[in-house]
Amino acid sequence: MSTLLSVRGVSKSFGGFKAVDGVDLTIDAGERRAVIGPNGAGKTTFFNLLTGLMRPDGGSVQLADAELTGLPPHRIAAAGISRAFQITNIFGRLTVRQNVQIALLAASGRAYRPWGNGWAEKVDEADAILGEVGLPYAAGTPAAALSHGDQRAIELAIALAHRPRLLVLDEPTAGMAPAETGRTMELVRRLVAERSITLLFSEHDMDVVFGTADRITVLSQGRVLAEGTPEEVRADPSVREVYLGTGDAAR
Amino acid sequence: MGIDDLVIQFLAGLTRAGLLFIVAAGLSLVFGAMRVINLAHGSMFMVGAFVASSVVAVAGGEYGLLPALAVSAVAAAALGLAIEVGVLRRLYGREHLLQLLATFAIVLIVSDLVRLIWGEENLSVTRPAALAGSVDVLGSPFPSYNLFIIGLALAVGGCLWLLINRTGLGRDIRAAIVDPQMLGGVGVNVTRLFSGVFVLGSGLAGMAGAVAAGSGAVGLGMDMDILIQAFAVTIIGGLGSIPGALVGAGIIGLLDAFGILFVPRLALSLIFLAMAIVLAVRPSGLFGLPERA
Amino acid sequence: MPGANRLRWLGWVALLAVAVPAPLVLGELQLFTASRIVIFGLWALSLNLLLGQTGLVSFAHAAFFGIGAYAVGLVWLHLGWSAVIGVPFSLAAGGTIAFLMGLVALRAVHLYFSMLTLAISQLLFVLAFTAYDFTLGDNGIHGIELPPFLADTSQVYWFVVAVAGFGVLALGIVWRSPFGAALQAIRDNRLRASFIGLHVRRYELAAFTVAGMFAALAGSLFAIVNRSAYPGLLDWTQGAVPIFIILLGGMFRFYGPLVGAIAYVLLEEVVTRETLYSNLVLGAIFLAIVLIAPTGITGIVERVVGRLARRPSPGLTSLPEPLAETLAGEFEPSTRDVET
Repeated sequence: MSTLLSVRGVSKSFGGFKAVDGVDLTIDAGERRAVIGPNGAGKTTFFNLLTGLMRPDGGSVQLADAELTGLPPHRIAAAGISRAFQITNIFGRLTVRQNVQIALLAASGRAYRPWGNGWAEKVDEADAILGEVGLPYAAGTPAAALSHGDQRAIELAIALAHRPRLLVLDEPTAGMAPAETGRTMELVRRLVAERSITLLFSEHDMDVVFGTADRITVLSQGRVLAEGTPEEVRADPSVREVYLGTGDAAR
Repeated sequence: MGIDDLVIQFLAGLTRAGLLFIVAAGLSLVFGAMRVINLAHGSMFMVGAFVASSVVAVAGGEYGLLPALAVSAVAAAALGLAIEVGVLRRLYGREHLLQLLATFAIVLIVSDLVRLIWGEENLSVTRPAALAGSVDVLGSPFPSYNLFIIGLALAVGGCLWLLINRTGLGRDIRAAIVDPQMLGGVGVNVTRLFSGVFVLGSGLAGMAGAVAAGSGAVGLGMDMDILIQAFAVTIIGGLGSIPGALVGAGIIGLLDAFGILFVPRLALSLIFLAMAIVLAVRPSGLFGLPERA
Repeated sequence: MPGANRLRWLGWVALLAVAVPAPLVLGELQLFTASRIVIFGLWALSLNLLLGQTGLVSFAHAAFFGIGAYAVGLVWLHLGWSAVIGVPFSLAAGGTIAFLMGLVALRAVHLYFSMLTLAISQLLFVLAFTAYDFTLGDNGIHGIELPPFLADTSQVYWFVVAVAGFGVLALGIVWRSPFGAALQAIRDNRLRASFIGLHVRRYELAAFTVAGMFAALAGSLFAIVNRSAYPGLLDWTQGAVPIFIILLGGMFRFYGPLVGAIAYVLLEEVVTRETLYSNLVLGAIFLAIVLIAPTGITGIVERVVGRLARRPSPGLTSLPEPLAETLAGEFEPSTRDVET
């Protein structure tokens, strides 16, 4: 299988604190990869470096053959990485449909046109995506008015609107009830399979991790502690030690 | 132009800087701790100046201005408390724009209230007898009142340093400047902190107004004049930084003094030019923390 | 909703039906008031492209209004051309200066951006004030002569309505376009907008430039009507006028600032006629709106109409909040206090 994402020696320090310390990561096209680790292991910072929210101090990031190191978020998005956030991060005053429409418009590269009717564009396509994530009934409602779970679904819909090659999800089920968690991950698995999207996600819920990931990377104190199939990681003594040692045991 | 002229001009610049520092420190604290751009800060200054004129009128010119410093500070602090409790408190957690607009509405209201109470005529305030003379600096006379302003500014700076670095309130203020979202989480009484900071800032502006009353005319319009200069100071130094306010005040004060000496026609624009250049190079000022996207 | 659409068209037609024949009915002074409404309306609409649609708080909008007025004054004074040439010229002047100012000011975000616009606009104000040879300094330029086809007040009024009408139309097209939609997304969530692939700063720069162009156009009309241009127009405190108008009318509808301009100019006339303390009254009204009804007149009307129609309107009761909080939450607890 061909390599999609290739990260080499990426680092980021804050003051003297090394949040991410020389992380290597290679993801094959079509893979579903989880990144796990105790709180403060550097997962979110790593995702921030990958998607351009922060600029790495060192190392390189490549998507297929494109060099992405240090590019701003909008360039990285254009290159084919899209991201959903840990804290729900949507366009609250826009309607649910408009949230997806604007993502579609941005992805089409035609959002700059200063004429025509902006909110009449991409309606059908947006509704199709809303149907897929299970939100067709809410299309006309301001996004901020929806429940937490539905807002997570909007996140997903926005991220999908790009037709990304790599979808980065930061704790997609954070704050969800168990039943909701199951439904959400099922949806994610189905969507990435249907659209042949490569998936990179972080998650605290180990059931979610082991139920979805093809391979798992374990971060601890900003470094890669272990990497392998779910079985390999589960059996790895150093991983057990990190989790048991910090009291943040797998649930 | 001799070296003594330059020294005198330098001291004049420091005098200006001292006054600006007292005003800007309050503005900067309010922004740093509350993330509110208080357009009414200049109004507190103006109220302080007018109150001082009344105190001197009642208490007499010989000592009048000294108690006026305290009375003006208290009056402005009380006004600040009323504004914080009556208006701003209802807007926390809302948009910055609404807070900004509310303080602008207060600017309009206060300017007319001052006109209503004190009239439209410019007033002048007698300096206390002990500070009315001048001292000899390298053979040139320099007003002792100006030295008093410089000394007062240093004292205020020292007190603020102690307050911020040595007290519980100061610790909360520092926490607020770094991350206002974390405050409630770490057990800070946010309501009390915000009231305290706003009252402190207002009081400083009121006292500065009384100081300024002894330096020049007291009149309508001094609210906006001082506000724009205090903004320049705060922005150059970095919003929320007291050392920044000190450095910024020094830059603006000296630029003002030497600008008038060397390039009188451009003196006014120098301040804004300095402000624009500093911000263009360092968008969060010399000592400020960058605002998050 | 086709019903709402039809109502909106009806509103625009009614506005034209009132505005165009006004000189046939109104006296000279009232016509002057009507011109002010039209000019302030255009000015506030241009600012709302930034404030309501993009979420940018600019303190420089008085500067662009003043630049437009000076475009008319300087063309007449130095080139000896007809003052009317200054009107299209103001678009170019406002746009160019806004573009340059935006390049510098948009390096900063949020409140720092606002402060930078304040610094640069005050610099322009001081320049207008001190460049005696060029601008006649604090005297200002007065007695600007108008061409024969603008000989009487009615003709001037129709000219203002025609030019401002063009401006409103152009701004309306931008407001409704995909570009306008992208600006709304940026207003709602600047960070997220960049993650869906929008080059946020470039969009903001474009919005700032367009807003500057049409503010200058409004200023040029002011100079035509008043036959003068003076430095006080550029002073940043003047920028409160369009903000007040937007707040009064409501910032989430394109036509909100036009409603606000009618209300503001009439209110201002009544207040200044009835009391010596107009700032006190206007300030109190302003404060009341901020505290009680931040969505302005259009917001109130929509809520009332929505209630009458028994359809709960999803009415926006609050203004856009910068996303600093959201971003702060993005950092892991262990890194949050060091990340800036």
